[in-house]
Amino acid sequence: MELHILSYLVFSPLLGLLILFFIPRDEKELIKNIAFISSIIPLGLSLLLLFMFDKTNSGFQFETLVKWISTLNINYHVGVDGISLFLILLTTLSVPIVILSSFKYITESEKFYYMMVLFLEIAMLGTFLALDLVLFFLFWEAMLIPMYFIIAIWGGDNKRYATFKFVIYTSIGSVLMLIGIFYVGNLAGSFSINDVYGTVFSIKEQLLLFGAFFLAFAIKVPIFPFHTWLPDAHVEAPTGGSVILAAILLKMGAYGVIRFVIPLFPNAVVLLAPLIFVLAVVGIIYAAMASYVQKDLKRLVAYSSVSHMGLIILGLFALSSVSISGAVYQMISHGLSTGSLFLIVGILYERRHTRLITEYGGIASAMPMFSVFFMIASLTSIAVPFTSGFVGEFMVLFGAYSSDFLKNVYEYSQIFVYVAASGMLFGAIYMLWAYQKVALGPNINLENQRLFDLSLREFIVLLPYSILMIVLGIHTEFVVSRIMPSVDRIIGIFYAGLR
Amino acid sequence: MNYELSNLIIIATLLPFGGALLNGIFGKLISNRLSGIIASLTIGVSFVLFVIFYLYVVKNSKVPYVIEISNWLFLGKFQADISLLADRLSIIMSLMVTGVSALIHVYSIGYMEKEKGIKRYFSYLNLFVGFMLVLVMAENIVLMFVGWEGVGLCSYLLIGFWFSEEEKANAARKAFIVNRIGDLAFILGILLILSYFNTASFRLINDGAYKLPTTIAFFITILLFIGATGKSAQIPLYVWLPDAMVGPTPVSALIHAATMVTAGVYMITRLGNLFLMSEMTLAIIMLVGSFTALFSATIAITQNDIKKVLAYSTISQLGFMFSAAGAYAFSAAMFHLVTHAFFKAALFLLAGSVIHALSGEQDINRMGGLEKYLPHTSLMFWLASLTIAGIPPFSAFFSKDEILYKVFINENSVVPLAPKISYTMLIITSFLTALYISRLYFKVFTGDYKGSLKPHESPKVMLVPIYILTVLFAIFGPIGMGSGIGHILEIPARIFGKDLHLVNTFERLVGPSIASFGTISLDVSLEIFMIFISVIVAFAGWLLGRYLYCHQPSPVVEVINQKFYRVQNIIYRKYFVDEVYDFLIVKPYYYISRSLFELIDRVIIEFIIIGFIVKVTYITGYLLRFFQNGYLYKIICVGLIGLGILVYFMMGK
Amino acid sequence: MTELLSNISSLVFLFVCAVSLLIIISFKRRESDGSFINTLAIISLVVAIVWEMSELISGKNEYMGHMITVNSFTALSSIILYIIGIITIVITDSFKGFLAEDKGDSSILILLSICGMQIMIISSEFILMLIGLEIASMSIFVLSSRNNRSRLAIEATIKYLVFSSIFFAISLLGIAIVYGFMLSIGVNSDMLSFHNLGFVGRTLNAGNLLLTSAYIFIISIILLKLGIIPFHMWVPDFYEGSPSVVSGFASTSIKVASVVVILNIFSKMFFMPLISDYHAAYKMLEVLTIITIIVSTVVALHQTNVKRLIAYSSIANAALIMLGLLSYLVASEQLRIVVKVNLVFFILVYSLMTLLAFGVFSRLEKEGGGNQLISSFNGLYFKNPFLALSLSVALFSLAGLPPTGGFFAKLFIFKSAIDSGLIVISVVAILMTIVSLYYYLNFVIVMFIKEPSTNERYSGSTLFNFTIGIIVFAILLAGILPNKLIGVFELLLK
Repeated sequence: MELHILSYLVFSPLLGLLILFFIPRDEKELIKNIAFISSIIPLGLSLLLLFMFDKTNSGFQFETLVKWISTLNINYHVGVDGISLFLILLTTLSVPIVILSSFKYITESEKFYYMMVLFLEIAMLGTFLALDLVLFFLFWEAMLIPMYFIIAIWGGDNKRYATFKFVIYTSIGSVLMLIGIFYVGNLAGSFSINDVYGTVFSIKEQLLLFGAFFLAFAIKVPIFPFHTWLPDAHVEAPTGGSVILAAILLKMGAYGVIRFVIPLFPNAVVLLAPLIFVLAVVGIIYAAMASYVQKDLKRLVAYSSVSHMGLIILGLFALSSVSISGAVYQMISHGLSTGSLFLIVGILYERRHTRLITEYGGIASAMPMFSVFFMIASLTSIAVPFTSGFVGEFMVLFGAYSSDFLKNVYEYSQIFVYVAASGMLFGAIYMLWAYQKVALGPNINLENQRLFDLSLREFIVLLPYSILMIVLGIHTEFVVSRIMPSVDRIIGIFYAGLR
Repeated sequence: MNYELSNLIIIATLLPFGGALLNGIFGKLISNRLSGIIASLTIGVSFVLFVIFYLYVVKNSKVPYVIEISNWLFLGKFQADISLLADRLSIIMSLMVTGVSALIHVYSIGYMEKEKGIKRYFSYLNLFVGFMLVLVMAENIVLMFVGWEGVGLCSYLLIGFWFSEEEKANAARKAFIVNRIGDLAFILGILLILSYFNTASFRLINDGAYKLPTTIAFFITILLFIGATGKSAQIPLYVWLPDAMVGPTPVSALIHAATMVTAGVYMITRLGNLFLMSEMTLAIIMLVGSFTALFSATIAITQNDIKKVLAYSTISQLGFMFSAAGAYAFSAAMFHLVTHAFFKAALFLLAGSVIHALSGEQDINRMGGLEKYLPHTSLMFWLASLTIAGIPPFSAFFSKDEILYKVFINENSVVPLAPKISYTMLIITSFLTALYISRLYFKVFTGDYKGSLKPHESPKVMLVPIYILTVLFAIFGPIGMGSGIGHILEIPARIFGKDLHLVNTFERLVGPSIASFGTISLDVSLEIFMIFISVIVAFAGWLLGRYLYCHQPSPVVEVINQKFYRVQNIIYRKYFVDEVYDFLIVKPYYYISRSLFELIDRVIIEFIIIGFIVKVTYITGYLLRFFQNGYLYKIICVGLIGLGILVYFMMGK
Repeated sequence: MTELLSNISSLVFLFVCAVSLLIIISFKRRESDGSFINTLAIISLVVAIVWEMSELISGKNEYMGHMITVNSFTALSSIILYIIGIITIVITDSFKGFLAEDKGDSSILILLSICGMQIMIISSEFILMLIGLEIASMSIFVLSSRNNRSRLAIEATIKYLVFSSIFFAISLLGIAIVYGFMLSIGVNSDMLSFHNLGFVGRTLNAGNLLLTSAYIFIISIILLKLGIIPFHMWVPDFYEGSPSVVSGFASTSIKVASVVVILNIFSKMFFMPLISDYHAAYKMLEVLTIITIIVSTVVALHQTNVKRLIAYSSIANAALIMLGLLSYLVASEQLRIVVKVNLVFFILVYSLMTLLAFGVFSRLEKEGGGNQLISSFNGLYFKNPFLALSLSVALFSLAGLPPTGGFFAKLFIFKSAIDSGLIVISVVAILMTIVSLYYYLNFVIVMFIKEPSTNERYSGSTLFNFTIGIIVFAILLAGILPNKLIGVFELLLK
């Protein structure tokens, strides 16, 4: 079937990018509108993709393979399966939201900003869809530049430090992955995932390659103790940047783990799983505790991300169908809730130009509608039932708890699940604390009393995420039935490769 | 079962959510009163639907119905769906929930009239009922957890309804977090259950429970019980409930007395077969329950806030229910749950009426003599007090008596002493209950009025619901009549040559839906003896209270106050449990978090590891730079020496 | 003779052009403002490119008496040189900043220098190679020192001149020694071709002390031009002192020529199991490469002067080129062609990005060149976003981030190195690219830090902007569709 919908999808933001390129930078309104409209196109295409997606097919769909750099066996190979499908949708949904949310936040060099966002969208979509290791790496690295600019130009006071940390951390991981990719490609004879999945590596190779790949993903996720770049990057980035970072960029690490680490290096996974469990669980608890002591609201949300991503990693490495599906679900849910939270912080920041929690209090009386959205996002974040957060978290916990793999790896490994579950409690502690300190209590501060509630634009920005958080909390079949077959296929490859 | 009727249940369960949405989204468009009417109507209709369903379906059938709404969670080999389980237990509980809720909704229209954000209030309240119905009607344990957390959430929202006061916001958060501790245990229990039974359905779990090894059963049930202590405010997780009293009084009546806090008992009853597998757990439940009952009853005596007294009373009464559950007497627990819902809801609403009358005054020392001002309230308060004190023939007499008896005759093979200890504590509690409630009644309604504002009787919209509740708690008792009382009543009947066949209707009613522990041989004479004891105790407590507090506090009170000042203070300060928790858990958590964060993120990762790498690179560059000042001779020297070294190494090979 | 001339026709043409321009300038010096000459120079280079293209397509591969080799590889390298030349002249034409009274003499010098380098490229014999090298170098010396108002420029030139003269002499000494050996073993030719010199080493396979040092002497001049440690110390000083245009030209063109020369030397001298201790020679180069890349990267961290920074970056890039050359040395037969293709790609992209960077520098350069601190780029984005973004593209490309050509250039080098088994050195090189990110990004970010805006708007000629735009476009294109270029190179170099 020669349907190049994926290629159209990946490069569809290019259209807007080119139009923007030729528009004078002073036409600010026009630029905003064009950016927004052009970001709707990928959304439409991805919805079409969702509509055409065949949920009975667990493998890759709409594959396109074009010879690219033949001397090095690098091909342009894209395809989508149940795992990437929803991450794609999350991306294409987030970008219009980000653009819309930036209308007032970004007040200079708008043109370049929106170009960078669209550029980033290409890279993100490409990363999720690439089925060629080098292509994947290309898109993976390509995210750095737009993200760098977004933080460096429109970021906060300490942006210089944050950008450096962000870029250098990420690069440390990715260069090692590059070596790994070359090695894998050398053995497999090609970088295409179909060839790579069939390749057998010796135990020693697996361990080394696992290290090379996993470090890259662990930094991106980020897993404790590689997480310190994240709070800085989040805090300094403009709202749009933080949303993209939280909603999508962090998911790439986890996505890489499912796509490459688990199926490619099964023996290494078995050997190193206990270590990863420890890191994941320590991350969950530690980051939750660290969140609790943050003074900056954005930093608090950033640490909460670290905590949630720990759970996702636990789910991935528990290697049961339910836990991995749950982890993917949680990735989506976390994208929605944390994305929302960053939008919310951004809305506050636009009004008050501070993110210190102590500066706020009682704003629910001034901004009731805002507080409802804040509440919904917080509740999803702490996995209250009938929000998407609960579904993901419960699936991960149950999947991990009942996982045969987990039981075989380590005698007492179910303890990890118990400890991980306590993240629910610690999550509630910091999240409700933050909610209370910001929204509840007496509204004493004069400046807070003068706050006005959401504008129509802000309302539209917050609405889709919030609706999805609740809908996905109740109606899960649509998503899970598409994720699970692909997850089962990955697990099948994992066990087939296990020696 | 026919299709339409199953739809009834779905509609009945979803109606409150609909009401919540309506009020939440379109609240701005409608008037306050309309908002209250919509909210009450949705619950009322829901109640009627449950009644219809009960009359046409459940009453005539012992088979539970499963009504599927939608699939939900995919858990590998099985699913946890959004399905409802309609059996006698759940329908009776739902009837109670919707009935009491409907009344409280109506009451709220009057009580909350002048408040801002009343639509938000009704929206939350409806949402609460919706989640409570989900909890009750859930077909599987995961869905029950949805309701479980959902009601906790609504409780959080409603306690913090007046969020602009720091204290209330704090109380709300405390409630949620303490509940979360319980929920955490609950969810771990669920994980264990799911992985051992490979199903989430209550019926299958109960059916398969007998196969469970005792240790596993112990772990599962103890985790579930910890969950229950959170929601049902038992030791050690009861601390949130007294604080929760800062919420609107109807909320206290509905959530923190009648419905939500009983969820733990309901859950244990629902999973009766599972709990029967671990006698150890049952003994723990019994002991914890009775100790909680005693413990909180002592606190209740010393409190001066009218709602706090009732809050500790609730905790105490919940302890009774848990003791019953621990004694395998699930039916008795459920019965007390229902009667308690009626009289405690009534008490809270009456307290609300008093507070309403006094424009927000809650301190009983500033009340007194309200008899004259609030005749209806006073009358009903008196009846309700007699009921909770356990004075016949009101309902609590029947339910409490049943519990005391079942606890006494219980035989626990793991902890043989438990039932007797438990009984002792409960009987003391009975006495204390009568004492603190009479203290409350007499201090509030008799004597001289000490306030300055002129109290006014509540409007009809508030009084009518209480009247209905009063009727209910007054006459509901005989339905759950224990065999002992039945025998007493049969004695005069025999004289007239009639055989009454008085049986426990309630037990028969819910019997098919709950676990039973074989047949227990009933010793009728023992039971009659014990009824006497409890009646005597109840009267003694009541009369003592009357003696001490009627009209004027008796001089004895002064003496006691002086002599036992220290003890009293400790009790009044709730045994310093909050302070101890604060010192042992809350503060350390913050400081540990803070120091861990500083240590790991700031010092180890940032400063030592990253700092080290950066510094090494930087310093290396700095040192190497010294070679780089570009004097010509230096350039040439470096080049030539380098060449020399190369030659040397090449030749060295 | 005619055959020879036809094979090197573009070189001859270029040389004739240069001489003609020289004559023209000597007549029209007073009236001309230089643009006329520059235009003519550009036209001649364009013609030369077309000319060379036809050579390229005809695919000749001929040896003329072991002295000259002309094949598609040399043609390709020449074209790259011409492109560098065109860009340089355009930049020179737009900014006479470094020399107000320039009348087009610079472009003539550039043409001459290119001629010299092309001689290096086509030579397969040492004397010719060295002559070419001298022609090229002399022109560059003159170019860099023409700004007689700048003390730094003179100083830089002298340093470079003296330093490279010494090693030129040493290199000659090496050749003389080997020649002596050649005679002693009775090679039947007086040609100092690469092949013959390699033959000596093969024959005298004992670890002859003198011979070994002779080889090192010979190669040292090329390593010096590339800037490999320990022959690198002239680079930062020279870059700093010279006008940006000259630095850009010198750093790119000479690398192209050197790479071709080394490849020639490697393929003709070292390939046959080489000099006696081939392994040691190889190891030596490996060690030098590692040291170079580490030292240059680490030292670059401390640079505050943009030109010194780019100088160290060019040293690091030279090390990457060495990495490519080393992998060429050890690669298997079929891999060798890939390595070669990758090297050409790297060189091309490297030239473009370096020229881009220096082009932007020259725009900002005050009259008389001089010190350019990184801080002087503060807020460039707000003064002239086009320049800032172009420079960012250059720096990102140097840092090796997609979607710039630099990404693939580095990727290909690492790929061929890993494929050839040079794992350790690749890992070191890759790790050092992370460190290098720091200073590239450090440079980029200052341009985006808002400064109270000054009046400078740095307006420039359309031609300049157009050229810069073309280069940016080319770099991005190389980053998005490298397959096209690679495909062409592969076709040509097979």
